[in-house]
Amino acid sequence: MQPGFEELFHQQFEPMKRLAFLLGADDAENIAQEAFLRLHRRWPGLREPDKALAYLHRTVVNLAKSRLRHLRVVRRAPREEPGLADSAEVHVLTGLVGGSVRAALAQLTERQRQVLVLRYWLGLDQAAIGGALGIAVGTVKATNSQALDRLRTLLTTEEVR
Amino acid sequence: MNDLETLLRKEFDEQARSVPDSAEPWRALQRRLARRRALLVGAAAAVLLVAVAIVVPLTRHQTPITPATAAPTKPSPTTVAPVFDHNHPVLLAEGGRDKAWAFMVGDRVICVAMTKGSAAVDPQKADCAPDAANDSSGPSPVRTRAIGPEDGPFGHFLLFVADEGVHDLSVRSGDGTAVTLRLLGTTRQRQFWVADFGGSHQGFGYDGIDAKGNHFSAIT
Repeated sequence: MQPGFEELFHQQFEPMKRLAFLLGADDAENIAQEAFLRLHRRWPGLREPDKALAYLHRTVVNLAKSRLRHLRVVRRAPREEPGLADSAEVHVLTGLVGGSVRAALAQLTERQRQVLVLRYWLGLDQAAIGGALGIAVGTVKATNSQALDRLRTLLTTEEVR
Repeated sequence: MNDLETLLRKEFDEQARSVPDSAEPWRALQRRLARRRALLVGAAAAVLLVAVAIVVPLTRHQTPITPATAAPTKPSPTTVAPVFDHNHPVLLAEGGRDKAWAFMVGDRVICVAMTKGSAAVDPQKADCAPDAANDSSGPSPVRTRAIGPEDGPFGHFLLFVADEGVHDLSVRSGDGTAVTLRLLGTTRQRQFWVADFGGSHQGFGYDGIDAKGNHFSAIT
């Protein structure tokens, strides 16, 4: 095994799996494994910890996005995969598990949720979020601000009820 | 930090904590790596077989478009498609009597042509367009070309033209499924790959590493 890779794996596997889960993927473990598999292939050019971590974030975000897109297609033909009713994505995105914050998060756009998870769970700065999502820092700022405004509105409405 | 931000951190932490730790993920990765290596060996063998399967018929049966001026074709079993002009078009796809070909005019223009049965490629009827490789304004290290109209016999294929040095190119369809790429050939500046989506290629995506080692990806 390539030096440094195993250490990074043990440090980051669980966080990457949880990141995939928070982004709505129903196969978070598979996504984290696939991300490390891809990192392993590109390890010679990504030895620096910052680069490797940024690559992992980007890959997990992209894989989770692909998975969500796949789930949306599958959901149009529900007979093909009836088990989806219990998926993590359903819990995260529709807020069926409970909690007004979770329910409010479910009403945000996919991009807004991505920005919030990367910012407030992973603690990335705006430049790193832009890198992970492939968008400009200005867009990150605007999306973050819009997402917080929307959440405030949704939570206030919830409280009034 | 305001209350909402604190609330968000708490909510995400709670959700993340609800995910149980995996049992022996490192071993699972080792198994995947071993499987991937076995697949790569198999794929390399398959690419070699496909290359031979393409080159041998082409070099044996190709009819020159301008017999009076065309140079005789010499078989070249060790390369996929070293010559890539209208006298030596590369077969992109075949279905029934329909065939799709690609060739280059000069070192910049890429043409896609259709034929029926054993008819030769007619460069006048080919769909030709300049390619942006090695152009400083080029938007991407990979460009794609449709092969005829979307409702045509090859509407589910796409031609991928990658800059020299691009590697680890992978393509997925709109639903996230991996799409198999077939290497058609390489020129001094480009690699030519064909992807069969088996259906619509709407919303396809791709990623890879460019010649400078930078990762690139795109979703259409």
